[in-house]
Formats: sequence, C-alpha cells, structure tokens
Amino acid sequence: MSPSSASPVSSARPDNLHRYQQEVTRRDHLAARSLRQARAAVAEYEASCPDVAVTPPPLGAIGAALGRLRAFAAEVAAVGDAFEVADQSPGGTIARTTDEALARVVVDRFPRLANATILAGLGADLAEDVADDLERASIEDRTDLAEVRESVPAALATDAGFARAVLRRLGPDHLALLTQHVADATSPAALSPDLVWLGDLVARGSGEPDGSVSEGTGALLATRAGRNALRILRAASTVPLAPTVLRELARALLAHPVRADRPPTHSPMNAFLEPGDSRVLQAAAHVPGLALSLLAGPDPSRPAHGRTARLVARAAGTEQRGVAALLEAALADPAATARDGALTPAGLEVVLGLISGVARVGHSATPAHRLSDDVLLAATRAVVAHPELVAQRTTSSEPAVERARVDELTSALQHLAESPSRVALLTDGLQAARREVQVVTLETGDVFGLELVGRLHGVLARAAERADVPPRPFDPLLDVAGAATLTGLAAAFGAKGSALGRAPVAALRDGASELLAEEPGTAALRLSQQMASTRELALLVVDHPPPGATITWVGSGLANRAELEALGPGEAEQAVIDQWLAAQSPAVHDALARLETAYERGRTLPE
Amino acid sequence: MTDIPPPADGATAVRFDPAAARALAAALDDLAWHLDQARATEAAAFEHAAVDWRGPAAVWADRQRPALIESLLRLARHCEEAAAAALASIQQAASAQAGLNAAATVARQQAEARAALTEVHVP
Repeated sequence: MSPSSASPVSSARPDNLHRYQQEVTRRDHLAARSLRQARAAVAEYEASCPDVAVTPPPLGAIGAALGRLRAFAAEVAAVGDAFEVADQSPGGTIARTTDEALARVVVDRFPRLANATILAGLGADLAEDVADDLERASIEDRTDLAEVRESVPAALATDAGFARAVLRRLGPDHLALLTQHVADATSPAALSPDLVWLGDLVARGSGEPDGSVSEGTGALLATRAGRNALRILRAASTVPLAPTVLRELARALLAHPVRADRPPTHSPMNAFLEPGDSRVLQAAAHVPGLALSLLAGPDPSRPAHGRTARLVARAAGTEQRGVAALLEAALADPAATARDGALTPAGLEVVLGLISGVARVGHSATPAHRLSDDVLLAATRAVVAHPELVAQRTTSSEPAVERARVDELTSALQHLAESPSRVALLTDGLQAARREVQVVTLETGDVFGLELVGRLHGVLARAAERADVPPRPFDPLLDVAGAATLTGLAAAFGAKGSALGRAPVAALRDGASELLAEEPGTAALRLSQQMASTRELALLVVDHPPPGATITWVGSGLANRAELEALGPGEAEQAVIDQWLAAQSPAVHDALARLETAYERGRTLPE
Repeated sequence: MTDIPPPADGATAVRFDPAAARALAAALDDLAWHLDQARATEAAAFEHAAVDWRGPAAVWADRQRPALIESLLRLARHCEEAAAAALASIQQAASAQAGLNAAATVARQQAEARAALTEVHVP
C-alpha cells in the first residue's frame, strides 16, 4: 500500500476559501477607516477637553486584532491555493487530495502554512527522516548538520511535538554521541549554529506534553555522557526548559558535579561543561521555591544535610555564577524564614552549609581554587542576617566540638575578610545586631542574645587576627565600634558602677592617640567613632531605661535628649558625656555594667 | 442635550468642548459597529468556506478562530463603553462648571457682605 492511499482525504472548495479572504478584507478596510477616525476624535477630545478625562478604548489592540484577522484570512486563501495545486479530483468545484499530498505541497510551495496541525502525518515522517539523518551523523562522526537543519520547515523547528518525535526515534545514546562530536568542533565563544539548533531541539522535546520528563531525557540524566551532553546543549541553547525537566536536570547536576563527570582526557567539549551547569543553576534560581528545594528539600538519593556545604566546597575554582544565584535564591526564599524571623530547618541547613562550605575551602586556597566574590557575598549576607544563630551554632557542651565549631566559623570569616566591602558589611551587621540585643537586655534583663553577638564579635576578632591581609581592614572598625566603647564604659562604671569620674573614656582616647600617632588620620577617625559610639550608648539608655531606673537631667550638664543627640565629636563634648553618665543613678550604671559583662563573656572563646 | 453653563463672574471656566465629546462618542460607536460587522461578516464567510472543507487544514482553521472572534467582541464592548463615557463627560463638565460657579458666587457674596460691614463701622 502506498503512503498516498493510506493517508486520509482532505477536501475544500478553493473558491470559497478565496472569497472568505475577499469578504474579510473588504470589511477590514471599513473597520480600519473607522479606527483612523476614532484615533482623530480621541486626539481632538484630549486637546479640547483637558479638564474631563475619558479613557479611550485600546486602539492599538484594535489595530492588532484587525491585523491578525487579515493575516488569518490570507492564510485561509493560501490554503485554497494549496488545494488547487494538490487537487487530484477529476474536476468540479471541490478539490480533493490526501492529507499527505496537501502537506507536501504546503512544505514545498507554502512554507508559511507549515505548522504541526496542517502537516499532521507528514510531520511525523519528517521527524523520522531527521532522526535517521542525525543518527547517521552520530555514527559517521559528522559535525556539520546544516543539511539536516535546513530540511526542517521553519514552523516545525519550534514545534515541541516534532522535537519529541525526533528525539524519541534518535534515542539518548546517539544524541549524546552526536552532541559530543558537534561540541568538539566548536567552542562556547563561537557557537556553531548546529549545536544551537540541537540544543533548541532538546530544550523543546525533553519533556512530555503533560510536563513530565521524557524517557529519553531520564536516560540521559542517568549517565555521565548523557549529563555532559545536556550540559553542552544547555550552554548552547537559550530556549527555556519545561519546569519539571529543569528541576530534574538541576538535581542531577548538583548530585553529579562537573569534576566527577568530566572525561579524563582533554577534549574541546569540556569547555561547555561548567557554563552548562551554570546556565542550568541560574535558570533554577529563577523558579520560585526551586533553589531552596534543591539545596535542602527532600531527595531520595541524597540527604539534605551537607548538600549545600559540598556544593560550595566543590564550586571553588569553577564557574560559580550558577551556584551563587542558587544560594541567593535559596536564602531569599520566604520558606527559608519562619514568621517570627527565625530560620526554618531548610533555611538553617542552607546558612550553616554555606558557612561550612566556605570554611572548607579556606582562605589560603590557591587562586585557581578560590570561591567567587558572589558566593562569598552570599555567605557574608547570611552571617549578617542571622548573627545570633550563627554564633549559637559554635557552642557545645563538648569542649572539643565547640573548639572545632569556632575554628570552622573563624576560617569562614577569615575567607570573607579578604574584601574590605565584605568586612564593612560584617562590622555594620555586627553593630546593628549589638544595638538590637542591647535594647532587649536593657528592657528585659535577658543577656543571652547579647552574649551570642559578643561571641560572634569574638570569632570575628579572631578571624581578623589571623587574616593576613594588609592593611588589616578590621582594626579601626572592630576595635573602636565594637570593643572600645564598652570597655571604656566598663572602666567608667566598674563591675558595679563604681569609680565614677575617672574619665576613662578620655584615658582610652589618650591611649589610642599614642598607639596610632604614626598613622595620620586614623587616631582622629577612631576618636570620632568612639565619641559617636559613647553617645549612641547613652541615647540607648535614655530611650530604653532599665526597669526601675530614672534618667537624671538636672545637674547632669545636659537639659534633654536633644542636647545629648546634638553633641558633636571632640574632647569637650566627650567630657560633657562623661559628666552626664556620672550623674546617672546606680540602676543605670548596673545595667550598663551588665551589658558589658554579658558581651565580654560572649567574646571569651575556648582556646 | 446638556448645555455647559457659562462661567459665572469670578469662576474658573472648565475647559471642555461638547462638540468634541459628541464627535468622540459617535466615532467610538461607529468603530464598535464596524468591529461587530467584521465579526459577523467573518462568521458568515467562514460558514461558507467550511462547506466541504475537511482534513488537517480545516482543523487548524477551526482552532485559530475562537481567539480572533473573542478579541473582536471584547474590543467592540470596550468601544461602546468608551462612547458612553464620552457622552457622560458632557454632564460631568456641566456639573463641574455649575459647582465652580456656585463657589464663585458664594465667595463674591461674602466679599460684598464684608465690604458692607466695613462701611457701617467706619466713623
């Protein structure tokens, strides 16, 4: 039986199809003229009636709708032409032919009509032809697919059904082989159109109509060669994957890193692997909820614990834009944070895994094995966003465990401290956290949070000591903003608020001046920061007086809060604050001493 | 037909041209009618075209039409609503002018009353 006799019959009255276009076009002309008049009337109204606005209808959309109708009518007329060419009937007004014969006429003579519906069975035949050509190319090591590409009608080239049919017949092994051959003959910097075409074909055909992953794609995900082929194809194509396919591909690539999948021998195609991974992870980062799910969600093949840490540690020295995007997306996911601001178990896993991963790489890694600025920035933001939690995870009833945890965080912070901008983020975050917990301590007497922030300060200071990065960017910020003020106040009031009037802040000032005399500008900076910090603490006490304490203004040298806040930097102003502090009640001094004691207790780390 | 009252002495004039509003309403009504006609003509012509039309191309054409028809219908309704709003704008303008006139009249009367009081108290 010939294909023609097996194909169902198509029929039409070409004259009627042509008349359809004529009548629609005639009516369209009239509507278009009316549309022009409406545009003019709208313009006239807007010019002469500015005080009473009228919302006009969407005239642009009306023009576009009429354009679509015109185009459709022209296509219907073209179908009439195709029927006239394909007509196999003996005569009369009805044209009859087989579906396949009509489809072949469309492909040959009317390519703008070549869509999946009209081509129907012929599309399946073409898919088989294309798949067979690709299979031959894979066997013969051919890298030029131009002829195959050009045999596909434009409309079918973007049709998912056609792509599925090609891939189903080609099979995953031939696809992987062909991809490697084509990739070996090109480079990411100068992509061949063949590789892009193949990548687009796979992007469209890798999922089933119901959204699930096709059997062939599943087979590719299960093997090293298959995953590498998908990496290459993703690096070449910008056509998005179906969400389910993207999720499964990202999951497979996270479970099987490039380092493990890369072929042992050098090959030009290897240049596509990391960019391909990165492209997939970046795409995954844009799908709401997917990043957190990939890093900390349930996965029967891998436990959540340690997943993020391994990802970060393995990313060192590779293309890390995808990893950074995934981390940022996971941390920003609303499901990472509970309603009260605390981290959920998934969020906690990502934050701690990120810190652990950074610590594993270590700040002394060679340049070829470093983490990127984007990944380190994500880690910095995680620490700043959750300082108490990060500090709390360094504690343990087991001294050895506690030491190990402190060392891990110290190592991570050391790595983060390589950049002045990250140092600034960390110190600003520490300051903000300290202010918050000081308020809690003043109002409730609870010192737990303050101890934790003090502990983070201690770890940060230890990291700063170990950081071998001139010009030691931690020093001026940490010493002054963190410790000096509190130390100065503690010295001022003692453990129980005694020994007032010794002007210890001034003494500190003198000490700092001596220490930093050789660094012009630094001492002045320290003093003004110290002054600002002392005033800030005084304002904190005014705004959040401890229970039972009264703020004394009479005889204190200051009339009210506004005067305190308005004090500028300088020795005279510092003396005014000293006098004001001295006038405050023992309850205030006790509260300040409690702040200092708790903070210092937190800062004391296990050796 | 609503007229726009002239601005009273001291009142701001509403910038509005009833003729432009009526012209706009008429143009939008006309456009709505033409869109409806385009839809009706298309439906009748397609019914004729569909006679003896069988096969994948006919299936394709059937799938294209609903979206086209729906957009023509929806846009025609938009035009009708906008035409009604253009007509209603004449009444709005008249009300706005009347409000401004009333406010100006009250202000003028208050000013005259103050002036009269001042004259009484001048020795």
